[in-house]
Amino acid sequence: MIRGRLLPWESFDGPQNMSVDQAMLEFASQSSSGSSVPTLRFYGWSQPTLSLGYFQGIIERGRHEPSQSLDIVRRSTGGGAIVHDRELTYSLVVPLGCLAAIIGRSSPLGAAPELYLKVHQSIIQTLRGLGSAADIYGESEVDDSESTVQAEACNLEPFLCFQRRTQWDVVLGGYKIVGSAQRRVRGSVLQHGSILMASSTGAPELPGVNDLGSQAVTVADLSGEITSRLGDRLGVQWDQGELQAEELESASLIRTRRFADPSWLTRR
Amino acid sequence: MSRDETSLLFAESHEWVDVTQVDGAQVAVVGISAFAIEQLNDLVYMDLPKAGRVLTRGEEFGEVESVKAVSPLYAPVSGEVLEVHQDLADHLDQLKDDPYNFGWIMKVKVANQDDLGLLLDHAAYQKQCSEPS
Repeated sequence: MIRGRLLPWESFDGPQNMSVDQAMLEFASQSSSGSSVPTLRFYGWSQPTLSLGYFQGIIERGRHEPSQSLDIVRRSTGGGAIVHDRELTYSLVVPLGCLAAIIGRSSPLGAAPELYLKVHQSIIQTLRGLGSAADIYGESEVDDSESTVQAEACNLEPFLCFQRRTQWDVVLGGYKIVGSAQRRVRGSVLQHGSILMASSTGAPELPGVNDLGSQAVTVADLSGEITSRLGDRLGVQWDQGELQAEELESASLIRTRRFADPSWLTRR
Repeated sequence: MSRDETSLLFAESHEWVDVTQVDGAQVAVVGISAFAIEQLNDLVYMDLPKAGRVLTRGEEFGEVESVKAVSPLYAPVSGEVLEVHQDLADHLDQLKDDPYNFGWIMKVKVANQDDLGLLLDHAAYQKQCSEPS
């Protein structure tokens, strides 16, 4: 069993949340394989925030009226934009020294689909235990949501992540309710993602778990159960931990140079 | 003339290098290997460096987005970027078919001859790709 680090739930603004994730990723990459362990954290957003995918143009924001007034940040991960409001957000960093043991094969480049599946299956198992019949999109027999069909009919890739589909997404009643993305560096991989809890005024077209499921669930219910199930699927025993001083210092620098820098936001 | 994959040099981070002589200077033409393109799977975006940028060996010079992951590209040699393949980002679908010709990304004026000695030949690179990382 691999030992992993579970960080306490915290709520920050967009630049800080993205900076902490990036600092965790870089720290895991720089640490020697003996001292570097998988790290899991769940977090919130101090105010509703729109995050753009890494390669999205800032001008694309104009395509989505309900989120116009929200704070904005550019993620380091790809895909579509996300309105972070009534959601549970997670990030998982795995050093490459542990990745092969966790997913059962070497993965030198690109996405590690097995990691998506292990995280998403843990979420599905949790939701099913709470009365919501979620599925992996690629295995679901339910029709796509109306919002996705409309976006595709316009022949444009949907602006919002939750209106796009990949085979590993989690859907409930035809709606995508979990979206995740990965970023790799030389020695580690970051996967972070959002679990929609309920519809936001910043994206009223996207229902969440509590709009679609049969019983109300809380962020605390979900995060605790997912942690436990994910530990079983990854073969990781979570120990409560904190960000190290080096990571906090790094996050501060990353915030200034990247995620809170207007030129980073508007670089595309 | 089409490049022979077996005569190229490779970085452990999967970039290929074709060393040419231009006006008495060594110029490295750089791309990403067929193995890397296959592993990355369906590239959708690529960020290219700007001409004039001075790179240090091992430094990130660009990024690619494949299905569900963003991954960095690393400079296989140090030196100034002389030219960038501007058409590449809009034609990533062609990269898989012709990684060693159409797929060139940039030309770098080699600043340190020793960098070339740190690269792998084709046989050594193939061996690296066939071994678990």
